[in-house]
Amino acid sequence: MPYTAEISRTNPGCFIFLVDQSASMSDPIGSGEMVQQRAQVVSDAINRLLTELSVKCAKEEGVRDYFHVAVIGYGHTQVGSAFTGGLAGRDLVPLSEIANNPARLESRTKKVPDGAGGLVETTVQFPVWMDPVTNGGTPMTRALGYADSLVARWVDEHPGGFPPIVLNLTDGESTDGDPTSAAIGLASHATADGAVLLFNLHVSGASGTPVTFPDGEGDLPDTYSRLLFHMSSVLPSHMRSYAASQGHRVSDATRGFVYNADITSIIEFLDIGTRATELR
Amino acid sequence: MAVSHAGGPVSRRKFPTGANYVEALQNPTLCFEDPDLKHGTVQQSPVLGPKAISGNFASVFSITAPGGQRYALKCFTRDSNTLEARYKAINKQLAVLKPAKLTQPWPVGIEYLPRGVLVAGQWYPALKMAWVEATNLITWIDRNIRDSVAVLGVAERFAALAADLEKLGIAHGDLQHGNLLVAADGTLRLVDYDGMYVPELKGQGATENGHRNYQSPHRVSSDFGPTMDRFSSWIIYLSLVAIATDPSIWDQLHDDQGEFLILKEDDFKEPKSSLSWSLLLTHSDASLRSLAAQTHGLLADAAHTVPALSTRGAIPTPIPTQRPVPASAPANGTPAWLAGHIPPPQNTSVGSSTGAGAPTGTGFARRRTADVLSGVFALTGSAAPAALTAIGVLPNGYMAVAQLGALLVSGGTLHVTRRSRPEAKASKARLRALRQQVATLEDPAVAAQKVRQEIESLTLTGASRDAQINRQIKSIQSELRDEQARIAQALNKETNGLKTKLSKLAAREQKQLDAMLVTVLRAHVQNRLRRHPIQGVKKLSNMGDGTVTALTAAGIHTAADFTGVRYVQSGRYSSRDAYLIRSNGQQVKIPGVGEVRAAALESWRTSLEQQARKSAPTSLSAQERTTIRQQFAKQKKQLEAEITQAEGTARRKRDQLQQRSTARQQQANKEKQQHQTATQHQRAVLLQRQAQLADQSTTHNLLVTQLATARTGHRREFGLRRYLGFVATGR
Ligand SMILES: Nc1ncnc2c1ncn2[C@@H]1O[C@H](COP(=O)(O)OP(=O)(O)OP(=O)(O)O)[C@@H](O)[C@H]1O
Ligand SMILES: [Mg+2]
Repeated sequence: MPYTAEISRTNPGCFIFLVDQSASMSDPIGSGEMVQQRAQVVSDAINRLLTELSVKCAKEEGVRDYFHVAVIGYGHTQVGSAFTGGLAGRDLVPLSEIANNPARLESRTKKVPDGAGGLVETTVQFPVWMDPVTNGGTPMTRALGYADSLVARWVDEHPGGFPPIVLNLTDGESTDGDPTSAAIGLASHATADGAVLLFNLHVSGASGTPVTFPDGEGDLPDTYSRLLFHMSSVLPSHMRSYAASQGHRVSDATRGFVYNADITSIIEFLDIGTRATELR
Repeated sequence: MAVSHAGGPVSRRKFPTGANYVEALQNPTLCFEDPDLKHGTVQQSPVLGPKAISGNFASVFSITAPGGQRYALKCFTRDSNTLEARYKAINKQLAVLKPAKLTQPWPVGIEYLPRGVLVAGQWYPALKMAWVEATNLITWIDRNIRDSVAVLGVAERFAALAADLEKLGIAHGDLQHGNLLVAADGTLRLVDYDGMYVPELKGQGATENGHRNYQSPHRVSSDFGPTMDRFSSWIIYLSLVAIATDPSIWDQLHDDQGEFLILKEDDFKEPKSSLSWSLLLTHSDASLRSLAAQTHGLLADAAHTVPALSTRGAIPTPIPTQRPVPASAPANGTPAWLAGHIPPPQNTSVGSSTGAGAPTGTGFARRRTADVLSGVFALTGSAAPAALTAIGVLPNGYMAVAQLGALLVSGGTLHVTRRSRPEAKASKARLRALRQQVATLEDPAVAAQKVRQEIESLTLTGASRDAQINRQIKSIQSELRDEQARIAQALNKETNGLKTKLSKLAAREQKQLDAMLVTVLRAHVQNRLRRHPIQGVKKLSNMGDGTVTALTAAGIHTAADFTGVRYVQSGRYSSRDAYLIRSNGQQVKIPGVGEVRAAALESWRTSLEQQARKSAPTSLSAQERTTIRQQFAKQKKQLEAEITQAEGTARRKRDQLQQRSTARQQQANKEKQQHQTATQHQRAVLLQRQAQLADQSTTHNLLVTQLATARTGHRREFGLRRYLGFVATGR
């Protein structure tokens, strides 16, 4: 059965984040007090995903290298590492190094419910590995090609491992042509355990309600979201069960696509290590 | 703790993620209600705040209460509606366990907090536990692998723990290295009771199926019950016994960072292609072999039919792993003869091994310093020829002895002629003997040093060769794994296309059948239309011979010769030209046929066509169907054959790879054994030599002392000689 390979230090997984850093990402999203820059939303999502992954792989002696992770930015004219700080310029980095090397910890104050109906202000430390950047065009096709070469090497070196997961975060407006065939090419790489998984997070200023893991394009507001939906891989069965257990309606056609919503839960879908994957 | 996906439509809420908890725990006074936790100190990680230990269902934090008591707080990341009820039942059971009735204090105190942690305004349950000061099994083994007695102790204590559980009718559900901790005194602790079965939970389903590298491949959710730990117990016990029997098994089969002991999922699922089993089942230790065979025999069993772990006949005779220690280690390097002079010997192995090679050693060993002198003389006789040879090759010694000899001779003359002193004669002889002895034994210190180095380098090369072979075996295994994956990868690539084609075959067949029916229908209609000559239109109003002639001239002889009409706006307004469409698609303008006549022609044809359709077949004939079916059956067969062939080729490749790998592994192990035997042999020879040299060197030291004493005596004698000379010559 595909997508059941163990994810462990001897069989590490590979996570590639592709981050849209084009000028259009400086547009706002949300309304009223909640207005944020798209790029800010995306870099927050990445930083949160990296924290989540680190915590998930933390054991007694520290964070284990269950994954190697790359954060690739695309915008302006370049496609390459989007890390800032100590990891700047690097592609795939073992997770323990990521956990130990955020560029900085930001103190963020926020009001949280105190559990008794009131609100209290607290400060939390927010680790940051990448900053929002907005500049130039959106070479999504080239970014997928970049991921393709990372993935090709990974699959060659880890023929029996869990297939690489590529997560593309974008506002959808590719400027170097239709990315579909690049996406198909990327998803055609496979280990013995299955083909590469390509997921997409679409951050858009267009109206339309947030959509998480849809199984059809019906609720999607525009051509960009539909294009990204079709580029996204169908969720493997155990991920589908997790999505279901979190209250999402799923079917055989459910895809790893999220429109204007939180994608952190994708980390929860990963069976790290060693569980006998599904209840039989 | 897992959520049962098989469960009904229970509404579940999304639980916080590990990082959500990490964030919440940055403010303990806000996120906790329990006083120990609220005012406690959360252990921090180097960079990312509160230190989590995460599993798939929870993150565990260490919190020290103001009173100094340390707790483990388990925060759940996946919801389960049965969590609280289960923990109540488990807690009830654990509470009544009598420590005196357990073989060791393995249970951990737990308290279920329904309002455990406040995250984003919501309370989530948590499990508060006493923090267990102990080391997880893999880390413990890594630290203690060379102490076979300790490892065997843990194996026995594990078996005892399993027996405790059996007796109580409890099962843990997820016995594995992360949940089995070893305390400082070597007793075990069991943590993580999420999947535990206690009698009160009878009839419920499992919440999880345990760790993949410890569970029977046949384990199913309904195995939840008192026997569900049995398979994993056998695996853990076998692993511990194996590495206690032969620690190199740990080097060979355990991956440095692997989440298993020495056996893993693949070894259970595909035991035939397991190098690990082949190594265990053919091990040189008979009791290990039989325990391995017994455990191997359980792989095919349904999980619940596995018998309880039994250690009968399996307890091996632990092979003491104390290897002969290099001479530099004081306790074992002491020559046997010193036995009477040093504190009671701790280890007699070296003594007995030297005893065989140096029979005199035993005699010396019993001697006290006072007896040594006579021993020296006894030794002198046997060593004399060697001493002479030694002198011959050592010019300095030769000179010294020659000089001394000359002096002795003249001194002796005086004795004989003048005073006749027997004491002097004895003294001279003694001196000579001593000198010769010293000369003979000048080497031992140097030689001993050399032997010591040889033993050390033998040990080092032996160890590095063993390590190298262990690495080689490991790389054979990982190569095998990678190669097998590559074969599967290639196979998938090859068959995926074929399988897609295969899956589309049925649809294509239907399409073809439909198309065939359309063709048959069209042929039938055409056939019928052909029976209606164009002359028939003369029946219609305003159509005469002229029109018919014009139509015939344009090649339209029957109703089958045109399919319809196309109207085209002509130059004049509100009027259109009509073109008849011939069955080949060509459009023709018929002289005299305008819009009106064309419409009449078209409706004439249409009504004929409708008539024809009525008599048309509604399905294909059996024969037509069979033709198509056969054609597709052939394609299907062909595709299936290609898949089967690809699979067969892959299987053959895998088998060959398997055989090659097994052979390579066996070869490597054989080489290792041969090397080890040779090394042992060499070491025995060196140790024997070392013992001899040690004896000689002690003798040497004693002789040097004796020689010094004797020299003083001689000086006295030379003084006398000089005196006598003076008397004789008058000078
Ligand atoms: N009471 C305790 N004292 C000390 N350490 C503990 C305690 N409970 C758990 N741990 C540590 O936390 C780790 C994870 O805990 P636990 O097994 O309960 O979580 P889990 O989510 O069920 O993990 P898994 O999915 O790996 O079974 C354990 O392996 C152990 O190292
Ligand atoms: Mg556990």
